[in-house]
Amino acid sequence: MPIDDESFLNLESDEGAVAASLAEHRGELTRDDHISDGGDRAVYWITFTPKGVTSQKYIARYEWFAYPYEPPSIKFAPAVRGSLVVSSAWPMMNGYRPTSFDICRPMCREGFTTHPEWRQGSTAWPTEGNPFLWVVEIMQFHFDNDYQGRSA
Amino acid sequence: MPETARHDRIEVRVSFPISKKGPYQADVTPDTTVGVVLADAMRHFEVQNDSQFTYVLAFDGLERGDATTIGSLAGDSEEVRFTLVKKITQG
Repeated sequence: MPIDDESFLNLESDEGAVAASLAEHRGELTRDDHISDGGDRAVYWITFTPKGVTSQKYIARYEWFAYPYEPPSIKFAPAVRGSLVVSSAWPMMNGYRPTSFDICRPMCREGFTTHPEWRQGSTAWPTEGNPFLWVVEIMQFHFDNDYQGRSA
Repeated sequence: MPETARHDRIEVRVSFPISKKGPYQADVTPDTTVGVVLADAMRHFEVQNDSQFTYVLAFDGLERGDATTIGSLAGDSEEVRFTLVKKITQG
């Protein structure tokens, strides 16, 4: 899905800190339009590794719509540009639903769609600072503190 | 095992990426607890716990308990870097 120029520039400004954070936690970030011509500049492929389980890699696809004003869609795939409906691409962590292929937490588009009440008050999507870094750090925290293995 | 204070003061730094403010920084004694640093950082970032979530500090990726001392985390280092994490509800 096309992203407006303002959102693209905002993402470019914030993605460096995200890449640095991921590197400290055994992960990495690749923007889709850096993979090949015609790629989507609104899509990022982010690799996460659970602390203490470095043999397991998880690839999350972030799609942004209006940054920083709206949350990303977040789904897992078995490989970069892979299918988004493979349950074994998903980790088992609280709120991560491999059977629904979504994350039911107030940090992504799917979560706010499932629970519209999260759009108000203290659970609302943050728009200040670096929300891209924030949501990536939240996911890394889940991997490091709540990881229970790979979904079947 | 009793903790051996390797430094008299340890610099703590707490980052929180969705704040308008920069990181929280302070020099503390080794016996200062994570709970004290957490409370001070929350005041700095102007955030509070509520019924939907709580704030915790993560060091080296792991959530750290309030009673943990900064000295035990620092080891030989003169600084400890935390991330302030908003533990949010699940669906």
